Amino acid sequence: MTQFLPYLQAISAVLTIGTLSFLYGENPYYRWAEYTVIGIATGNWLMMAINAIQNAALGSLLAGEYHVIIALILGVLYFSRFWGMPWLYRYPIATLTGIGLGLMIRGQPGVVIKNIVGVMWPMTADVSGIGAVLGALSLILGLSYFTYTKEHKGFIGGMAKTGRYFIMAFIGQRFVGEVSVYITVLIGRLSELVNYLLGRGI
Amino acid sequence: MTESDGIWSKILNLDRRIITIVAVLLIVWPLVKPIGLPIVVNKYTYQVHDLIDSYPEDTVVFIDNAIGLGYFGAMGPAFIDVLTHMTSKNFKIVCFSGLTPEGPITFWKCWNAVPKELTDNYEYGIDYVYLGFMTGGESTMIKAAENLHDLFTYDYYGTPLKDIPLLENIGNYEDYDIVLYCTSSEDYRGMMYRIWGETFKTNLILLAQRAVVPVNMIDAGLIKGYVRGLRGAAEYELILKRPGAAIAQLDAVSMFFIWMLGIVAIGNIAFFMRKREAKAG
Repeated sequence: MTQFLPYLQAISAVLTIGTLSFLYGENPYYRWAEYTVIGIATGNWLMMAINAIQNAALGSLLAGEYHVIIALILGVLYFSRFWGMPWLYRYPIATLTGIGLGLMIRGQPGVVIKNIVGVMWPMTADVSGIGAVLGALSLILGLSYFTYTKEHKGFIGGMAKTGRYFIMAFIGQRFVGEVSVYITVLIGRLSELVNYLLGRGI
Repeated sequence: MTESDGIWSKILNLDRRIITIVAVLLIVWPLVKPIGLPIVVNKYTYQVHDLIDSYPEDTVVFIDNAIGLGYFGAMGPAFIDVLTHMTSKNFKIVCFSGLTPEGPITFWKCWNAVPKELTDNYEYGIDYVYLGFMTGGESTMIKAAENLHDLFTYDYYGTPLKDIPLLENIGNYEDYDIVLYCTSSEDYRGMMYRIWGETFKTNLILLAQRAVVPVNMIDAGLIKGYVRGLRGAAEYELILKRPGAAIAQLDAVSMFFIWMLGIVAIGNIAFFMRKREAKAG
């Protein structure tokens, strides 16, 4: 694989420039880069999925664990839409939903309780204490904003309004985080490109 | 129209392409020649470093690498730095990729980026093993915690698990001293807290982006440390005293945000100055 690295780096650089060329405007170079990336990603997904089935299901089947046949049949039922029997695909979905909920309920209550306690504790007379008090306030006031059984007037209205400010502050922080993430993604690509052009290797 | 009014108007109507071009130049400059802007190391990054440092040689680490290719620039350096630290301590590494089929590509990219002097003495199957991608989400992750051998029949290269010496005595959460979850997405983090943090009470470390929820999870005791994307990677490189790609890239991030803050400040000043001058005359 290592002997192909320079070529792979060149392809990576060409595709990066092609994708960034969209900033100039829609153009055939961008289209080509886009289709190439989507095609390769789809091929990779397919191969990985086939490998996973071979590894987890067929391998176990050959080892004598015949109960995996049930899983394989349920998987095949996903394609029942194409046989004119679309109602059959409900069985794998129902099975997965049931199993998923069952697995989730195993640890989720503990996570929720620990998270609430973690946010509101310790209420000490220092910076972390202030954070804990703010955490407790934001939790209660934020929840009050989503209380619809009482009209948002008077005291409840004040709580809901303050809760809305907390929610807005959270969303604002999240938005900044998103921008920061996408900038780092862009810089990661540009970094690889610069390294390639300067002959440093990616 | 006065000359001064003209200046503020020109600033307010500055062509967006100029702003973008300057931003790109400011990003590329530190990538070509790192500036070395100051970086303050976060306590959560120290927690990860100290936890890894507190374990002896041959500690077993179980890794789920779910870094997608699109986010490699943001997450790859953090994974490389943590792998560098682990290999410098000769940890035994068992890795797989749940949740993203691009995991095998990003795992090998990161592994190959770890300094060769550290990985040269690592023998595949004895010191580290990579099991490849496995679909299935939460049920897969629970199986990985309960019995890895039930989940995988063979590794990434097609070698049966029973023939891999490293996995002879490793099979479930009790055998993993540290669990490392690297992700570029937020979708499955809740599952990891539930399974590794709450149900099996392992030492879960998170390499991810977007800070709010992981910090809460540390307060809740569900994860033991958190390296935050590119910034965390740069901090980790500082702690390890191994300056690498992340520090240079963080310079670029800082330059971009300095430029953005400058543009916002100048735009606001221009807006109010033009308003004041319009009032005055």
